[in-house]
Amino acid sequence: MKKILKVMSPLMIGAIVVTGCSSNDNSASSEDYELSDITFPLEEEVTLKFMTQSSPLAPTDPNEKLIFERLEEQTGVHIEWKNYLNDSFAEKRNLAIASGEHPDAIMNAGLNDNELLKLAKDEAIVPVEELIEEHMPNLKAVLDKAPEYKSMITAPDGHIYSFPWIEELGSGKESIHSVDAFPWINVSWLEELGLDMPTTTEELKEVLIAFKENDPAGDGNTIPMSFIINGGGEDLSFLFGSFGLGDNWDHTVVTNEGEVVLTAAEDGYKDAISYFNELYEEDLMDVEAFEQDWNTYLSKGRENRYGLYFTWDKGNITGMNDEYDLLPALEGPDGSKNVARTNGMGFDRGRMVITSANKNLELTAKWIDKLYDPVQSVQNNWGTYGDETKQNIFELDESANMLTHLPLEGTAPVELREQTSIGGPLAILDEYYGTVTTKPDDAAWRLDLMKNVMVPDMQADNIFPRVFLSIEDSERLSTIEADLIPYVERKRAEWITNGSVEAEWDEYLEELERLGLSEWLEIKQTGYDDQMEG
Amino acid sequence: MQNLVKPQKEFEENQLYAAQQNKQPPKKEKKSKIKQQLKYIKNNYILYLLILPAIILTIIFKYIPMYGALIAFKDFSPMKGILGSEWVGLKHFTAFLTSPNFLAIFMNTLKLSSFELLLGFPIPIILALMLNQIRRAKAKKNIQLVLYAPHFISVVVISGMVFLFLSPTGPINVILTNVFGTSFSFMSDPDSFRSIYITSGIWQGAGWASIIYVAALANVDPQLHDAATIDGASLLQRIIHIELPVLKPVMAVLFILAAGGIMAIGFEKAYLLQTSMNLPTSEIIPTYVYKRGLLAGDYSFATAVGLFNAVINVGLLIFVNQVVKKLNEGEGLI
Repeated sequence: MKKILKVMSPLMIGAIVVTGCSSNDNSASSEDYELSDITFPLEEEVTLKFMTQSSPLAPTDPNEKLIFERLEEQTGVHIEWKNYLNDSFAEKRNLAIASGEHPDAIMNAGLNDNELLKLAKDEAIVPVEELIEEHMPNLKAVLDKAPEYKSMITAPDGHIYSFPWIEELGSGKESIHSVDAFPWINVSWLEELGLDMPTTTEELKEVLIAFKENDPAGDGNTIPMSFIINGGGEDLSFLFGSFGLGDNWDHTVVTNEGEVVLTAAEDGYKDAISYFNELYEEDLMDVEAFEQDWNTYLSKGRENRYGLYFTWDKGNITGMNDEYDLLPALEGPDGSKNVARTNGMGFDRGRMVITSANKNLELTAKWIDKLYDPVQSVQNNWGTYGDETKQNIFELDESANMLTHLPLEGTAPVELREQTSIGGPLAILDEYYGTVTTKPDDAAWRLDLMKNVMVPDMQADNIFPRVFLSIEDSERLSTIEADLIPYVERKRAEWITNGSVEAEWDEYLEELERLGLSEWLEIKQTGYDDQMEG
Repeated sequence: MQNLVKPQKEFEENQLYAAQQNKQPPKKEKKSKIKQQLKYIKNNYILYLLILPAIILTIIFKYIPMYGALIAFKDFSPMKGILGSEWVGLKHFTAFLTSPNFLAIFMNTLKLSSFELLLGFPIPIILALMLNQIRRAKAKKNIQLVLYAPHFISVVVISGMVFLFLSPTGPINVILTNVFGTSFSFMSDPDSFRSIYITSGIWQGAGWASIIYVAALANVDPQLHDAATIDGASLLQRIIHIELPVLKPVMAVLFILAAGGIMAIGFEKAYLLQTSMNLPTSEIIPTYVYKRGLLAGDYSFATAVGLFNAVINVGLLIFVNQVVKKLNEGEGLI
């Protein structure tokens, strides 16, 4: 489906460009309202034009979301949205920028560092540090309380070009992002077959074989193990931890000696792949694991066909019940065990940008600053209260101005949030919990699991932080990665199915070198060292 | 007598020539020619109106966009526009030609399209010859209808069907498992990609492509067949000596046209049939351009790659035309 939409979109863009040309009076950005010293609500309603993206589950017109309705009431600013689905957004955004159809601002812009710096260099987006200083008290308060974020959003040239998304949920090893693909094992099957929770890779293999032979799902429906290869939160990367440094979604870890390493060039990685190939040869892996998408994965999960599967939160796939439980780190053949940390953190640099076509900078900045208000930020991220037509995430305690999470009542948290939340630039600091909001139940529960099950086996002291590289370095990195990462991920999948990792390993290392591994490591290492010193 | 007549004739002709020369000097002749032509156009303006939309479309969609190809030699910045962006010479071409995957992508494009051309070209001809042998008109119509049908299915749907049929749990693998006891994941095998691409292409397009050949065969004089049959020619001999010569000019033109598109292979189908595992054979220049240009927003680089592709294509077209000219007694397309 994704691909189908992607192919359709160039055709539609063609249509948009053609119609766009013919109606020039309908500009993509708004006129100059000549407002200054603005206080909300405005006396006369004005319109700003923003571009954004949203999930297919959410309403096509973001203004139908209660959060935006309330914001419009509070500010007197009507937002005219150009909203695209997540799948096709990046392409639409790039085309709009390239064809000069600049909206006033782009929300949920999803810009990576290189794109951000390129837009800044082209002067398609404006630096915002002065706006923050003069017109954005909420964001300023956040940056004062947590000054580390200020340095994280400041580009190497000293400017700030974007408004960040900050979500603190646990810190250091206990951060909710430390591991994103949790392994969930079917404990009711373990019990039914009289098996213990596996503690080594060998035991896991035996358990999976037992699943396959006894077919607890019935009618040959049992799938001992499933995942989505190279699929981020649904990948089997967790199991690499039994073989050395492990693996994560960007294949980058920092050793305790402070050396940046590509996990996919380590010997342990090779051993892990050999082990997976053994599992594959035994027919323990889902045959569809190498080409399925989320929906296929989900539908098999809903039918409880998996023995072991991977995802962020089991509630989204098999539901919040006791059938599945978290599989702890396994000891590898040499007795070592490790949980590799991802480099994820609750921080996204390029969440919102103001384009140079914007003629109402103060107004836009003040509107965006509303999003950094603590109670507003919490709703932006998770959803809102008091919606009479939908299930609510929160209820509001008006006297204390505090949001309390309502029970989910079996709804998958991701689905509910995507329908009602707006994302965008926001900040949720650790100190908000208990004063502004309660912790979401699913997050609190996941943080507990992280702390009790995962953290004890995490060997790495550091992750690769969000280094803000110069435009030259980030461009070089993205050029190398355009060839390097697809190659690594393809080989990863190929070897699990054909088992020729041993035979092809040296050739593979040479190819990595040819694709620019050394330079890639050097740039990352320098960035890391600079960040650590500074 | 003859001697007398000839000079006279020559004389008369010379006279006439001189008269023409005197009456209409060359300049005027040209002008009147243009006038004549305008008059001709005026008289037949309906015919010219007919081709007008085609000409306008070609100008708008083929010639005007060529101006955009300028950005292949510039560092395109949306704020500065096409003309205002900085010139960088051949930077993007060098970057592409020296990029680690250049050779693989280039060869993939060339292989995929030449195999498609070589394998796909003869099928419609064979199909047309076979259809031509069916004597019952109604049966022939029905068979043709069935053969055309896939042409009208969108390539997006075709790719979806290919994925479903060849999926590890799809019908083909179910048969394989029951008969041979093994299954094969077609879509993640780089070696199968071209076969899948070409076979599904032939299935979809062969019936439609055979129309023009069927039409050409309808022009064969039945008396030729009758005469040949009386002389004892077999079916094969009749096909080789009567029908193929009729098809030859059509084949030549269609082959050159197809060869002209050899590097301009469509991106949709290859992109739709791509999986991360068959990339070693399925990554072709158009999909690469799409990814680098539209998805990654690297417009200048993508344009340079596209331009490179077009230049190679022109070269191939001229080459194929020359070859066909040699084989086809001096008749080519250009």
